[in-house]
Parts: sequence; structure tokens; C-alpha cells
Amino acid sequence: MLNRLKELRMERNWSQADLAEKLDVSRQTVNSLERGKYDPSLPLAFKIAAVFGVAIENIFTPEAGE
Amino acid sequence: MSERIKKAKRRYKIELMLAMALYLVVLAGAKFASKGMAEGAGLTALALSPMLPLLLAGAAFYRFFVNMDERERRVSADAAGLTLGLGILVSLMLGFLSAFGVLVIEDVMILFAPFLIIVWGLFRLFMGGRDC
Repeated sequence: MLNRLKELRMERNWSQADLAEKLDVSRQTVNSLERGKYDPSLPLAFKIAAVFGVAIENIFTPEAGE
Repeated sequence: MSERIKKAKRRYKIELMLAMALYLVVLAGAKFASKGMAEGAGLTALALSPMLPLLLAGAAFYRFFVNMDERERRVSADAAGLTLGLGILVSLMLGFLSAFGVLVIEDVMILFAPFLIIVWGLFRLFMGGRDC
């Protein structure tokens, strides 16, 4: 799954720690999400969308073949 | 890292250290008290007494587990699955060595659980980084 997490975070000048605090996850998890190493559950994906005020489909997109 | 998770990790480390310190004390005390003791309920109770601090450590981990975020829980669960697989292979290996008289299992059984815990910790570290 591809995502725009880093781009959206940078636009808001948030650090990974800031975003982790807002999502109530560890900074390592934010890092894994941004690098595409971990795909979030649906509840976390909705939370991410709510934090950025963006629709889920504008953050996450399936990779070719998914 | 969220403040809630930080607090949970701090609390877990403290609780785990206390439980392990208590474990060493109880183990040494039980070993000392059991010297010359005849078989019976008293000896059985002493032999099982180190389980109590280990149960405290287990409870501390459970509290920590429910406070982890979903990725950390996933890493812990995946690592536990791999550890189970490795544990089964190692226990079979020990069983064969014992069945053929190469190894006396009683001598190494006490080390099996710490072995699994260390392996699980290494899998968690490898799969999730040092924050897990």
C-alpha cells in the first residue's frame, strides 16, 4: 500500500513524534507507516484520515497488483 | 511516541525488574529452605514458589501488551508464533537426544523457558526494531 503520510505530515510541519502523539501510536510505528513497512488497520487508517482532515482514499492507494 | 505508550513502557520496565528481582530472591530462598526437606506438600510449595514472581512478570507484560499500539502488538504476536515454531523444533530435538540417551532432559528443562523468552525478544527486536 502506498501512502502520503510523510508528505501530509511535512506540509503541517509535524515531527514523527507529533504525529505519533496525535495517533496514540509509537514514533517507530509512524516511521514504519511512512516507509510502507506496515499497513494500518482500518480503524487506524480512519484515525489518520481524521487527524489530517483528508479522506482515506486521498492518503492510501493500493500498489499496482494489489 | 505517545505519552500513554511511553508511560506504559516505563511502568513495564519497572514492574519487570521488580518481578525479576523478587524471582531471584524467592528462588534463592526456596533453594536454601528446601535443603534436607522431605518430599511432601511443603517441598512442592517451595519448588513452585518461584512461579509467583514469574506470574507477576506475566501480568506486567499483559498490561504492557494491551497498551501497545497495533503494530507493536502485531510484531509481538508474529514473534510469538515464530518462537512457538522454533520451540517445537528444539523440544523435539531435545526429546530425540533424550530418547537416545545422549542428554538428560531434567538438567536442561529449567533453561527452556528462558531460552524461549530470549528467542522471542530477539525475534521482536529483529522484526520490530528496538522500540517493540
